[in-house]
Amino acid sequence: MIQVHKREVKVTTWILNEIAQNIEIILNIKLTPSQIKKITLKIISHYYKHKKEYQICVSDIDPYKFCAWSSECLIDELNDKKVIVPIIVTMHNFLKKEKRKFEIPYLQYILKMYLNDKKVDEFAIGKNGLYMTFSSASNIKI
Amino acid sequence: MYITEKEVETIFNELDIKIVDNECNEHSNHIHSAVFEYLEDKYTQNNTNLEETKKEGEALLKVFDDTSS
Repeated sequence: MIQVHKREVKVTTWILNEIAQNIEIILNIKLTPSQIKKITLKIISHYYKHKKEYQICVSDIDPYKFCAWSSECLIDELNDKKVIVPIIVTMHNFLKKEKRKFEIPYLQYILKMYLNDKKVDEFAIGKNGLYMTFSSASNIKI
Repeated sequence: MYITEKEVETIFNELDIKIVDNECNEHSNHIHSAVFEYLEDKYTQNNTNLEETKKEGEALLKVFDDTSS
């Protein structure tokens, strides 16, 4: 059985609240309690599914992976691609806390490439590309 | 708060993911500690600045206007 620390439950809760808050601020959509529970179930299930086979104890949640992988669940649930905007802003807020940032035109470029996913694949990034973009920026040694 | 820690805990339980109190053996490098510190500060002290979030969101939403026009 997969195990997580109590701390990871706390961090997961904070990230989910951060995403929900930014959806309300940016899109003026307030998720209902049942929507957020449904989305949380999907996100957690997806996030931890691949770890199950390794029987590992998850000691650290990756905030960028969690957000990027949430994007498809949220777009499906809300049936609105614009929900990717608060996800990207959430990830960028995290990146700025790590003293790294993108300029707005570059963020818009990332967004355009994400929107091309499953449409114009040669100019597209999906959820994993989105994750790697922010994760790479976060991991740069300066 | 949109969802509480207790509600998230219930979802972990529903998914048969065990929550443990003790430290596990896997080495943890905490590479994103600045993010976690920010979240902890925000959700324990309610310390927040949303103006920049709003501005960035507006700038990115323009992309949808550009692509639909």
